[in-house]
Amino acid sequence: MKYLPHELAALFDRKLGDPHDPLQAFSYARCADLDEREEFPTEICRALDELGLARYYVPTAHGGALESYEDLAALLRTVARRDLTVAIAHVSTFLGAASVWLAGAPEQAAALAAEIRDGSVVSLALTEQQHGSDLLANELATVEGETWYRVNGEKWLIGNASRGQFVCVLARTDPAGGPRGFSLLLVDKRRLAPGSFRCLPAVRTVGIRGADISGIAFTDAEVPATAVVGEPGRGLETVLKILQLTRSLCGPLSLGTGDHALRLAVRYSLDHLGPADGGATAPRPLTEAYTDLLVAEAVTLAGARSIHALTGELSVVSAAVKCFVPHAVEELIASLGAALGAGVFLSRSYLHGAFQKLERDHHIMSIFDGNTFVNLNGLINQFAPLARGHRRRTVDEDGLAAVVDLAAELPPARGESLELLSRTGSSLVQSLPSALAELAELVTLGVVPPALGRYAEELLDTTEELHAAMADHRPSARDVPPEAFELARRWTQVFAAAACVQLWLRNREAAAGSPTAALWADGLWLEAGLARLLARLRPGAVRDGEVFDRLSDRLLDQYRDGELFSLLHCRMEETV
Amino acid sequence: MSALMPADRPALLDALLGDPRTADGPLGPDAVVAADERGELPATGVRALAEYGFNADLLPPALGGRFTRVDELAGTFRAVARRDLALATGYGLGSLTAALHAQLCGDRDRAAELAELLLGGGRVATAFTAPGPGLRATPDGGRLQLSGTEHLVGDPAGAAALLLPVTLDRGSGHLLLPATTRLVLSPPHSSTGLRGCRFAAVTADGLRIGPDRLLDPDGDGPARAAAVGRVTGTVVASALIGVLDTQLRTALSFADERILYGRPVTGLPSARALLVDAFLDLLIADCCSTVAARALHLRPGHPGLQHTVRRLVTGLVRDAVHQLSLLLGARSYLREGPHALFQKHLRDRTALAALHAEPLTAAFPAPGSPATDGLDPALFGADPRLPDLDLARLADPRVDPAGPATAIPAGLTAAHPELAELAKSLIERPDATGLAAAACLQLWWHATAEPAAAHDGPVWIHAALHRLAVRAGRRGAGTRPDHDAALLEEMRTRLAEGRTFDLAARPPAG
Repeated sequence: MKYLPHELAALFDRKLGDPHDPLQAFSYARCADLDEREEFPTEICRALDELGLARYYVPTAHGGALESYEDLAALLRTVARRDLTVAIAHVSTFLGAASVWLAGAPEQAAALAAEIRDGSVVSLALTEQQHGSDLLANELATVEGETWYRVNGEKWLIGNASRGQFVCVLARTDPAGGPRGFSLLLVDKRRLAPGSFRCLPAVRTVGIRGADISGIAFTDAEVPATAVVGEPGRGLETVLKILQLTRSLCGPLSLGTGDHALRLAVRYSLDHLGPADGGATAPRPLTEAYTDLLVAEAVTLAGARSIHALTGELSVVSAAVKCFVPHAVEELIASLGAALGAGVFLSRSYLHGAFQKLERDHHIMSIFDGNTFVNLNGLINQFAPLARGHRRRTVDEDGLAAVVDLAAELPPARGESLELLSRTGSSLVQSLPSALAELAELVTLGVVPPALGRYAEELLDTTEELHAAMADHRPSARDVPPEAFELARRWTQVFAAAACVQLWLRNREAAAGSPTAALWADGLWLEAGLARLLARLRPGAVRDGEVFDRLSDRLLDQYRDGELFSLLHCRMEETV
Repeated sequence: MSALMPADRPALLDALLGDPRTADGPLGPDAVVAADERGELPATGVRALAEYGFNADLLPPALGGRFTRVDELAGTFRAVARRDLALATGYGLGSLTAALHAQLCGDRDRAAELAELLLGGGRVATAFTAPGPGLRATPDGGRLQLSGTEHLVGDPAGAAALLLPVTLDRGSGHLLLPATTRLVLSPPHSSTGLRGCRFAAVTADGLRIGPDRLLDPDGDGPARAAAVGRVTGTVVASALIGVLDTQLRTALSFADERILYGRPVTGLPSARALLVDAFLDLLIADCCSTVAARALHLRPGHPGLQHTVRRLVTGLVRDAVHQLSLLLGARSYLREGPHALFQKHLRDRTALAALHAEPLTAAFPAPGSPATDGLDPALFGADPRLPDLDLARLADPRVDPAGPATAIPAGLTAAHPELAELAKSLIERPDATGLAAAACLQLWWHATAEPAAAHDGPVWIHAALHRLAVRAGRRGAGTRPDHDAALLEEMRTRLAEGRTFDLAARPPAG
């Protein structure tokens, strides 16, 4: 089984050179140094531009290379694996431009595509100091004439607000506000009258210190009427739709960071705790972290492929990815840090202090692009269709098949198919009962170990209980009870379990002859993954942890071969 | 519960250090954040601790100090940690570790020498667990020859002495060296947290030192280190509770001020629940920490207790701080602005947890031994007096046989049957949850027997036990008890009055 996005990522990584070589532009040493000096990774971003990364932010229809979001996800994971600060700094252009691809006029899109090709940076300016995630309360407003908008107000905590040539600004175009009261304006800063805008000083942050997290203030800044992205008044809708894409892409950013963390941890344990020789297995915290990473990968893959094949369900899928993956990686980093201790955590000298840096950097993942509460709330708002879909076992069979069969060709991404709410719930979760029945059948046939049969039962019970509780939830826009957040959190874990079960079932045969065959044989990674998920869904029950020891060789092999920690083969440019 | 904790020293220190809410105070948020940015301990805080004579709190009266009770000691560390964990760690923790080792080694001269150094205002830098062979001392005539590298918390340049673990031909021990010893120092660096503490490595290459510098010539260092670790681990747990106290204060003020969706964040039921849960976690952690400290005096032959409590408190504080960071959102990520203290404590907490990490290879005590066995009522403050701390007994590897399991207090079942039921199911658990439930219940029960009870109804204990049940993942823990409003009010009152969020609910001085 060749997984093409990984081939693309491996080639890209090779061109970036060995990250351990301090003479390479994109080296660990350089990243540590820039972080220490809180300096923007200009040269690294230029190297990424030269390798054509920004082309993947532009759809092929506009002359770019963005055909598959899976490719983009794989590339972002590779970049984040070296350095999350760089990945966040660079990907901002996709955030800024996505609205234009989705809703902008063809001429606007073509012009922006040409600019990005020539190296322009685009920034997305949504939030304001006083309002955070409450976009409807935003104050930055316009007055308009026949051929112009005049912008007044301020956006704050904006990635690349200072460095970007373009800022895509969410503005109150109707003084009354409301869901139809906001529009997006693609502002070309170079064309603004002098004095009509000012970039706010970079904010000092805990992590991603080199990134440009700043803001921009407009004072009677006049932009042409053609700057509006799509139909006036539809700005919020456009934003909520493109956030489904960007939240899905947070998966690979976290995954790459988690990969880096685990690689450091394995290296450290081999360096300092003796080699895992003579049948010894890697310490549990490492194999558990490995399992968590594989589960997070399954969720991320399902998310990226859903952009193409279950587009109408992306509102729930992207919320699940955004809640589950960063949280899983955050916990993974914390538990590895606790297990490894001060030697790796506090050191500036051990491997350039990379661990402490990625720990700080990664904190941003639960905060930006819609924090955990915003995403959980998005799921709570869809409890009714999710509960209904589960009851009726509604499944978009074609879409699901394309999402979970990694060899299946994906249909082109169609932005017009994005929906604010998923009418059909989640095909992945709603197909879980039948997938678990299939798994149970394989237990009976002796294809997979009995433990998976028990896990399938537990999972089915949990899924039923959960959806029953979700069905009982009484919708309330204002006073959402805390229990609902807990249900939504559990739903993301069930989503993760569904992604694991489906991916294993649909790819196990193709994987049998692949370099990662041993991971798939006997349902190995699935058994470990479900054990970890059930430990969260049903804590208290004692499950045999021996399965993690059986993953030890896979972990150490992927480490020694310089591979991505992954269900699928991907050789990285990594000296061991 | 005031009778439990002889709050004299912590209260005195709290008063001396000033109101931590005052932005321009000596240890106000602005000064603390600014010092952290510079990678220094706040000079004003260092001065205040010196004037107070903090080091005397680390030494027993026999050595000219005031240290008699671990709960009191833990309280003074918490008072400092609430303002600045780096200060508590950098100023006090190394010196405390050295003071305990010096007492344990039995060499009166060494102990007296260290006491003199500490009472004169000197500080001791200590090593943290790091990989590598470390230092080795080999006999060389009548002297010792020292070689290798060790990693230190604390800038050796700012320390008067160094406490260094050392491998011996037989066993291992600790060296107490004057800072003037000619070791090769690496340039000190600041890490991601506890930046003011600075970290450095010391190297020796055949350095000859006097044999009297070795505290454990018998090679029995590990047993003494384990004993010292039980005390310092309890102190660290208490300090972490101080961190959570401040994080909670920051988060609550933020949530009451910040308007989202047309009302303060505290108007959102989920935000209220999150804040209340963090408050409950803090109180649960304080109950456990109190019991662990008292147990050092009353049950020195139960080494597992401090270990369990340290892990539990570390986990409670870590999780609660993480949840609060989600509530603060971007404000938890900014090193500037009115809430910048939050990210400093966040990083400091992480760093301290790393310093006290459990090594990957450590064998954890197997679950299954009832955690609450042998917790006699004395631990819960039926008698506020405590026997003297017997350090030698702490270092003795003999484990006392477990006593009878903690029972539900007689009278509780009659007065609050539902509560007794919930408590019983938790206390029977053979893990940290059982211990925590017992600690909370017993402390609450004994305190309600006092006229000056801090919590006179079962609201708090009911919510805390429910919280423990949920944390332990007990299915059917039921719906959330309707206590959020009452507990949030309690938190707001404490915030407004400047009281601490822990069991002491101590008001600011003046």
